[in-house]
Amino acid sequence: MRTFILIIIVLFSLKSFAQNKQVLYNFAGLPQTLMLNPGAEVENKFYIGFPLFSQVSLHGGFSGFSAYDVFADDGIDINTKIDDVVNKFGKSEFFELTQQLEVISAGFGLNKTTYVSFGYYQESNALVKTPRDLIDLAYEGNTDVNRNYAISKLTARAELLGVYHVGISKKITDKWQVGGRFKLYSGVLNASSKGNKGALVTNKGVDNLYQQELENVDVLIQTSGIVLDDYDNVEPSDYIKKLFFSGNYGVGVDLGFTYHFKKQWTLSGSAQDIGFIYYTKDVESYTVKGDFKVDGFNLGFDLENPEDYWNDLKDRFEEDVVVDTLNTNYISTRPMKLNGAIDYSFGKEYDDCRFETRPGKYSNKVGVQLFSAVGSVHSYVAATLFYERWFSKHFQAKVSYTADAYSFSNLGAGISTQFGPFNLYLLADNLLYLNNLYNTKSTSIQVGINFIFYNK
Amino acid sequence: MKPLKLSTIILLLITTFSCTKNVDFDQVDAVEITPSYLITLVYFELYAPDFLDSVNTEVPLQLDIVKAPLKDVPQKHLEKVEFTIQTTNVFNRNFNAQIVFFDVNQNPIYELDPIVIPANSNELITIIEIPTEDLHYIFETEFFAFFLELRPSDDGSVILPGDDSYVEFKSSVELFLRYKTI
Repeated sequence: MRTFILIIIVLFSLKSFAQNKQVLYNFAGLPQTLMLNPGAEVENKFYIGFPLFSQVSLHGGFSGFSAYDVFADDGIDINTKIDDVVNKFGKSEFFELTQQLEVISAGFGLNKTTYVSFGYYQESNALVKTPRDLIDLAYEGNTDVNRNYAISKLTARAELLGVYHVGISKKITDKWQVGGRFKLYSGVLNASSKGNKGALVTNKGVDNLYQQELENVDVLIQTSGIVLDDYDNVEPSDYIKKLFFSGNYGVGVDLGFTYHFKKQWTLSGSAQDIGFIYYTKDVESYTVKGDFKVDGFNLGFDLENPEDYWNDLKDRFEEDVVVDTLNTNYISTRPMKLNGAIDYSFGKEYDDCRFETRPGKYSNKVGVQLFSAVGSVHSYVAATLFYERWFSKHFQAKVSYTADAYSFSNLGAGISTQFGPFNLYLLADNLLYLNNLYNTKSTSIQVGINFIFYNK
Repeated sequence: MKPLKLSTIILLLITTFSCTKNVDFDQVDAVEITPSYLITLVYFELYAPDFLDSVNTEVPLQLDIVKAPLKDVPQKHLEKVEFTIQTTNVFNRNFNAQIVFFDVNQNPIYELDPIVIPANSNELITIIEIPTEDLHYIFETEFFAFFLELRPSDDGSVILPGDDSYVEFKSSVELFLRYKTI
């Protein structure tokens, strides 16, 4: 119990707005920017990502509170602090973990205008959106008479998948660069519950003190690869194999562009993961539908014809609230991500003789980025201001300041270093919480190594 | 500034400023969560004819039995059980009500305090609590019996078939839970 509560609180204490890689977007011409915008401009001749380490990306957290809010060693009783965080809980908060690992990543310039990139990455993510009503129901109980404890905002998603991809970025005019990426998904595990309806309510009764009702409950939980006939013979290697060939396949595309609409001004945008996975393997889904009211046991005091109150109640419940198990295949749409940015470049570098060291290039870039995750389970929007600086061909940096519905103080930073073909980049956000990591409500990091070869 | 020097400075800054303030994860041992849950319970409304047999002879004692698989209640965390009973009695005679708990062998194992429903009483609330030390009886209960006794009148009068008096009984139970980490 102790470990369970500790894990729950710590997990729920991380806060993240996952999948928004605001520091990486369009940064330093890194090959990985093509994964966010297939129409991004990259200038290398070819690159190869370090196998298994060209991009390691982690996000995780909870939008409710931080570990410090609960575990601060401040002499205040922990139950008082839990009361505080529960009282501050919004109408719904979400917990999310996302992890991506690029296994293979490579790209090359097909000609002067066309760049091809391809690879394979593994992704796992989980998101649970918990309504305040259910937290109150668990934490306080149901004694708030006439209150609807609604489950309508209860949604969840968890998946493990592998993604094969190939993309092309093409310069079509001096101003326009467009790109697309085709993805083949191999879904290993999936569970999702969305569009749930219904409520639990205790009303003042007429026949009895209270009437309790499960009101128009309609819950659907879909799973694939989770409920198995035999767990004993399942090995981790089975999941690794399924990451490549699971039998649950889907397709998707990323689309993007870069448009230099004015000298020094650039507009770019992309849509990622417009696609779906069709789950057919080890599929098991559950539905709960119905409406049930109970006033209690109405005693008849007729022992000659005794009533079986309890079993009658159970029978009526099972008749009114239908719990069903289905094994039908289903489609799970991928959470789509939208990126957009407008930036202004300025400041040229000159050598001692006042010649431009990088003809036509600027060393500074400021701009605004917008990000939106559009999913059937959860959607949100984020806005970012950024400044990017090209210090030298060996070193570039970017700082970002992001605001979204949950935080207005997310400071991010990234560096990219290049020595010969060796490229190392490190990006992270929520740096304002570095002075107390336990107070961090958002954690996001991307790190990777590439071997990038440029034209001389 | 050379890039290596600059990146070293940035990393130094990050590692210098990244720290943690004091936290004490052992506080989790003191966590107590205390929800309480309302559950609607038994109710009835009995009229004068319900206390008469087929030849209109008064039958003062009424009995009903409810199977109660209470073993599913989270025993370890149950701290208190509180019954709320609301009665209305239009008869001009008192009633006694009592709930007796029986085990699987049909032996009575626990009785709630008897409830007196005074004559001509309107919406009387009675709260009965099962003390912590008696809670284990709840989980040994297979069924409970509800006894309702119409007390004799002071003047020896009996109820008649045309009497429109009634007695009403409504109830709920509140389960108080306390979850502790240790």
